Order: sequence, then C-alpha cells, then structure tokens
Amino acid sequence: MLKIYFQRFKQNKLAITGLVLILILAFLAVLAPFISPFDPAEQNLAYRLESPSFSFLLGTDDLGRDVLSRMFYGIRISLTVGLVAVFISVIIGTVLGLVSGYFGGWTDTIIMRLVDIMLCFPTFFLILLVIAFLEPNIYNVMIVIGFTSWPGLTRLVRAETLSLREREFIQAAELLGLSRWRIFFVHLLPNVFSPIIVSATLGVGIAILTESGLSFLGLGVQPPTPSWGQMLTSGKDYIHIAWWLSLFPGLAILITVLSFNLLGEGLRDVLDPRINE
Amino acid sequence: MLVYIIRRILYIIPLLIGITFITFGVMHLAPGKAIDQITDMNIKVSSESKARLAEIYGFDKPWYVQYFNWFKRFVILDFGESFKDGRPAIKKIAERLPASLLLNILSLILIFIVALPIGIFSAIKRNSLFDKGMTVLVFLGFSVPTFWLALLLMLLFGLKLGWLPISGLRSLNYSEFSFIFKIIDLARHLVLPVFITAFTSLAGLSRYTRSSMLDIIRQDYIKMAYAKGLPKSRVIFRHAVKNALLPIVTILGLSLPSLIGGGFIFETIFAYPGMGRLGYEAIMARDYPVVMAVGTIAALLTLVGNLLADITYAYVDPRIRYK
Amino acid sequence: MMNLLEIKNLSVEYYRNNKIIPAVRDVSLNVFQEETLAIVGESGCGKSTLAQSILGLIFPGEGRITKGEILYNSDNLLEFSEDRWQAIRGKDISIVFQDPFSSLNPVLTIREQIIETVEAHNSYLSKAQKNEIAENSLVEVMLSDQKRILDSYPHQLSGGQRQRAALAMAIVNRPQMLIADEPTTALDVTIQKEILDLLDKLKNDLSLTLILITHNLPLASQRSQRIAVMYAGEVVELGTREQIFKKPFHPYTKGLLQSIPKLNNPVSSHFVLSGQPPDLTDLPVGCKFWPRCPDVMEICKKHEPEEANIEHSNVKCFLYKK
Repeated sequence: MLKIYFQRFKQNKLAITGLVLILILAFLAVLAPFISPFDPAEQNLAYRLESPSFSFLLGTDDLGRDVLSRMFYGIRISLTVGLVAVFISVIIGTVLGLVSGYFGGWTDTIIMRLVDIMLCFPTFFLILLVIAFLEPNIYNVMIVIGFTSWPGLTRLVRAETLSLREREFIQAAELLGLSRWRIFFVHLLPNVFSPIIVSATLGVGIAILTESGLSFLGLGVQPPTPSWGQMLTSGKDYIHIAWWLSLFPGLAILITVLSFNLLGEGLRDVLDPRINE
Repeated sequence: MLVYIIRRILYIIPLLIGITFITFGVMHLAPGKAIDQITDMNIKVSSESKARLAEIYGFDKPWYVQYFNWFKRFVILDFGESFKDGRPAIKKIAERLPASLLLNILSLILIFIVALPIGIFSAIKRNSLFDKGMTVLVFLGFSVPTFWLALLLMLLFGLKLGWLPISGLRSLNYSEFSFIFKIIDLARHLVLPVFITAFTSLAGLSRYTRSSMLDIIRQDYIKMAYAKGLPKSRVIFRHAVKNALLPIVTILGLSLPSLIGGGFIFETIFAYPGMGRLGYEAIMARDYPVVMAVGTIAALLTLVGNLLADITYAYVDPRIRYK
Repeated sequence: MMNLLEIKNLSVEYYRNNKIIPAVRDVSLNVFQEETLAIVGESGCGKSTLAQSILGLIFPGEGRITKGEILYNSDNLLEFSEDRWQAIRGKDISIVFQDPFSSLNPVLTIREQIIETVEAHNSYLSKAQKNEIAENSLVEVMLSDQKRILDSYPHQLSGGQRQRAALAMAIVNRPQMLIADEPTTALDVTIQKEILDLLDKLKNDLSLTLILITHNLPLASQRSQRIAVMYAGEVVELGTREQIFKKPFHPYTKGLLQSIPKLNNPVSSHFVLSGQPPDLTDLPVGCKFWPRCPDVMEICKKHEPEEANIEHSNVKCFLYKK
C-alpha cells in the first residue's frame, strides 16, 4: 500500500513541487545563521532604508537592518508556528473526531455542539481576543492558533469514522469481540490518516497566514524577533519610499503558504483517488 | 417546512448558551486581579465604570453566580460601558454595524457574481486553458496573505495611480457633495475594502462551485436531459447550475465568520469605520466591555447568518420544502 | 423485416482513473422495425455503454467511440452534428434509465421535465397545448391523478411512479425507438412486472421498436423476440428467443441459462457459471471467456473466435468453427 502511494507521489507534480519548496525553506531556516550576510538584529543607522543593491540584496529597513538576513530568520518563525499550531490542532481534532464518530450518543452530541459553537466565532477574532488577554508572544500565538483551529478537522474525522464504522472490517472486529480501544487505535486511527494528513498540510499554510496577520497587527511575534508579518507592519509606514520592505516579506509568506497548499492538494490526489477529478 | 424552521430555530438556543459560555470563559482567562491591574493602569477608566464592570462580572462571587449575572445582562445586550469614553459598548457597536454590514453584503454580492461564473465555466470547460488558469489563480488566492495584497493594492491604486482613496468611507468634504457625488464617493472608498474582504472567499467559492458542478455533470439526470434532446446550454443552465447552486447558499452562510473575521484586519488597514476596526482598537486599548460586546455580536451575526442560509436552502430545495 | 437500426463494428472506450476501458468491442447488431430486442449480460459487460452510444451520450472526457457505424434509417448517426443529434434524441429515439431515483432532476417538477421535452422538439405549441400533451402522456403511462403528479417533485413520488413519469418523458414525442436500460432493476419486485407490462402496452399502442437491456435472461426471453448476449464488451451470441432458450450455442449463454434456479429442480445439477466477470482493463488473450469456459480448448487461449452463423444464430466460439 505504501509503495503504491509512493509511486503516485512521485508522479504527482503538485506534491513534488510543494515538497521541494518546503525542503528548500527548511534548509534555509536551519542554515540561517551561516547564510545570512548580516546579523538580523544588527542596526546600522548609517544605512537606513537602502534600496536593494549588491551589498544589501533585498535592501535595509528603517533601522538599517539587512532585510535578506531578517527574511532567512523569518522562515524559522513561520515554519515553527505553522507546524506547532497544526500539531496541537491535529491532536485535538483527531481525538475529538474519533471519539465523537466512534462512540456516538451523548458524547457525539456534546462534541458536535461544541464544534458548532466554535465555528460561530470568527476564528481570527477569537485568536485576537485570547491573545489580547494573554501576552502576545510566539508561544501564545502557536498555542492559541492550535487551540482554535481544530473544529473543521473534528468534523472531517468524525465523518470519516462514521463511514468506517459501517465497513465490514470494523464490524468484523466488533463481532470478534476485540476491545473498543483496540479497534479504536489499531483499526480506526490508521484509516482516518489520509484526510488528516491532507488537512494538516493545508492547515500549516493557514496557520502561517494567521500568524503573519497577527504579527502584522502587532499581536503576534514581538520585535525584535524577525517575523514576516511584523516586518510588513514596519514596512507599511515607508511604503511610498521603500517598496522593498513591503514586497519581499509578503512574497515570502506567499511562497511558503503556496508550497504547503501544493503539497496538500498533491497529497489529496495521492491518498484519495476517489476525488480523482 | 415550518417544522424544519422551528426545529432549526430551537437548535440555536444551545448554541447561544454556548457562545455566552465561551465569551464568559475568555474573559476569565485573565484572572480577575489582572483585570484590576489593567483597569488601574488605564487612567481613563472611571471608577464608576470599573464598579459597573465589577458588578457585571462580580469577581468576588462564585463563577456560576457571575455567569448567571453576565447572562442576564447579555439577554438585554448590556455589555457595560466603554473604558475609553464611558458610552455603552452596545451603542458604539450600533454606530459601526451598518458600515460593516454594507461592506460584508457588498462582498457577498461580489463573491456571488464573480465566483459562480468562474466555477461553472471551469467545470464545463474542464482542463481548458481557462480552467487551468483559474486553478492557478485559486491556488495563489489561497496562499496570498490578504493584508499584504491590500497593502500592494493601496500602493498601486491609491499612491502610484491615484485612482482610489485608500482610507475611510467618505472624503473630508463629503457633506458638500450632491447626492450623486455622495454615492460615487462612497463607491470609490468601498472598491478596495470590498475586493479585499471578498478575496479569499472568491477563491474558495469558485473552487467549490467547480467541484460541485463536476459532480453534478456526472449525474444520471444530466444524461437524461441530454437524452431528451435539450440543447447543451439548457442542460447546463437549467439542470446542472440549478442543482449546483443549492448547497452554495449554505456555503455562503458558513463563510460569514471568515468575512467578519477578516474585517478585524482589513477594516484596520483601510481605516474603515466598521465593527472590525472598533474591535481591534478596543483590543489594543484593553477596552474589555467593547471587546466582549464585539465578540458576542460577531458570533450572534454568524448565528443569524447561518440560520438565514439554512432557511433559504430549505426554501430553494424542494426536497426540504415539500417534506 | 426492415432494419430500423444497424450497428456495424462499433467499439467504444471509457476513461476511468486514468485508465482506458474497452467497454464495447467490435459489436455488430441490427434491430428490426417494431421488434423487441433484448441485450443481456452481467453488469460491466458494456450493454449500457452500447445503449448510450446509440443516443450519442458518450461525452468527451467520459469516453469515445473509436470505430464503427450506427445506421438509423440508413443515416450514420456517428457523422451527425450536435444539432442533428439533438433533433433525434427524445424525438426519434428515447431512453429510460435504470434508476428513476437518479434519472429525474430533483429540483424540477415532473411538469417542467415533461414539457421541456415537448418544447425541445415542438417550439410552436402554446402553453395550454403543452400542458395537455404532458397530461396525456401521464394517462398513457397509466398514472392517475395527473394534475397532482405533474406538479410534484420527484422525491414526492414512489419509485414506480417515478419510472412511469420517466417513461412519459420518453414517449411524449412519439418516438420510433425506445431504449429501456434495466428499467426495473431499481424497483420492488411487485412493481417490476407492472412496468414491464406497461412497456409492452406502449410498444403496441405506439408501434415502438424496443431495445430492452437487462441482466435477467428469463425476463428477456419473456419480453423480447430476439436476444443478444454480451460478454466483456462483445456480442457473443445473437438469436431468436426460442433459439437462445431451447438451443443455446455459446458456453456463456449455456452457463447463464443453467444458473437460473428452476422451480422443480432448485439445486442446479449441471454447472453454474464459475469465476468473476472479467476485468475490462486486463482482458485475457484469445477468447475473452476462456478462463471461465467449461469447454475451453487450446486455440481459445491464443486466438479470438470469429462470428459464425449457425441455425439462424450468430455465435462467437471456436466450438462452431466451420
């Protein structure tokens, strides 16, 4: 089975493009200290708002910091926030979805009502709200994004579990008298994996977008930590004289999110041939 | 149908209670003392409104008493007074709500008239150049940080080309304009905010319409329609589109939270006088009564929007209408 | 007898999951004026694809006709423009699908769905005339309470009522030929007979030529004059119903007949068709039936049999090679 997936993955241009881009980004993130031409935090007021040139490939910002170096370090923030936030929401979403779908009854009702309630709140506002009460910093941003973006996944996993429950091998396992928990972990969990992986990959992109939005509003990662969203905020004030401050961080976000979306959509084709449009 | 609507309305009640629980809970994320500290730091907070806040939340009482009191006030939409100017939070929202509704409704209309044709034609002309181009655009649409796009558009249309104003809803000399020019002025101010607010949903909905159409084109009744000798245009528009559009009503309802949520960023960027910006400013100023009011009202709006969408769906789908 | 329809060397392929499926392979078949021809075979043997090809309902992206001719009144339908196809569909040739739950549009009333069929071919009629025609068509398919049914949506009707309504749409323009693609498979047993009787009645009232597609051989033999047996996209045997029933030639036809449970002998003494229907993407070399054939010979595994003519039947099998 894995072999088939691997074969299909290799033939899927979307997935490969996405994966290669992500690997490059990850590589740059790890190597940031070695490939950055300058210290990302080093201010040099003599070189404020320099336009892109050979010495500063992507120019400098209002405090004379090298934009390229800050961009490299920014990858670390985006990837970390994206991955950790999705990890949290996948755990919550999967557990609640499985429990809800498999056990049904009152458990199901309560969990699904909770999902409905969560979906009433504009997620972004909920995040703003919580961050405002807590202290805005990278840890809180990751945790809050993770704790607010599970409801969609819960619905998905529940639906998948419900249809699995009707399938023969689960019913056979139940007839054989296997314990509920064994069925749960050995038979259900591996089979809901595909939709979870797809939605988690797409979720990383969404989380990165959310983080950049929060940082843009000043409620995310705080300066001097270089985050793309927050670079855009400070660039905004100089948009008419220093276009590079507003262009490059946005492009970086776009490319990062795009690569996760490509990988996610590619994986959907690979893992779920039913949606073979 | 009536039974369906009544059931649907009754279903709101637990959700409403849930919403109050969550807003109440969030308020308590920050321990009571923290609120004291914040209010102490905020010199504009009069001791009166602090007393009112303490009364609403009753920090010294057990949580269920606190919740009950909060709920009682919630029912009459009393969220306390703003720390900033001492006016009732709900009043401040009422002032801003029309502008936000205008923005969101215009965005919904834009989404409808742009995304649906794109989705439908992509499905009909599947794998054509148009379809492939749209797929690429949709991918980009999902990946672009919309606030960044807003910045770029402001730079291009506002600063470089000077075609459109980049902030607010009215020009400074608005009151001097004749009626026609007032409308034009409003429209010019609305172009960018409406486009940006609609942007993400545009991508999402055109994608959804496409896959929904592709699904329907495969149905037997489409074959049957062709087999009756109907021309292709009639099969597509009368048989396929009608079926594809039905679930989209619900999808629009579901996209409400993200529209309203987007308002918190976009209204701020465009200095648009709506509820989103009010909420953002309240959050930044730690103006808790307004923050809680905005959150609750936003959730209520979503709830009402979903209800309307479901009722519309029930009305347009004969399978529910004649049950 | 006169040929109304003649299919010559027709091959159709289907696309599924990036695979090409040869659904119909080199089929030649003729349909006489006013006869009932039954096409019989297991599911996936290509009988529905064959039926849809006759109406030009294989759309690009779904599949395509790779070769052959379909002559209707001596015109080759496959050379028709889309406009001429439209003029034929629902007017000269109609079709009724298997499942009336999915073949009627759920969001249009029966009236709308019948009237648009009338309109497509008779645009000059007045509204009142069209309504009258619609009502009469329901009388013809023996639905009472026509007004109520016309204003109903499909989900408000029973399965039998829906299939009758679908039949009304098929006959409302007085076609010459009706294709019934498993018209009773999705219905309750009690209703199946009613619908088949209705088909017989319509055939007599309107002098229809009927192509009845079914997987049910006894049903075919009761309701048709001639039977074509399909296997893996080919017609392996074509003969009159007496011939097929009393003296089948092809081992597959024999197998089908012997697997019919008989009242006096519930446990079939001979052999029952063994094995699975073939995988069309992975067909065996030679005769496509040999892996399941009790009379298999060496030659069957290497070469495909030609069609042989024997006692008024056409058979594709090496047993009858001249």
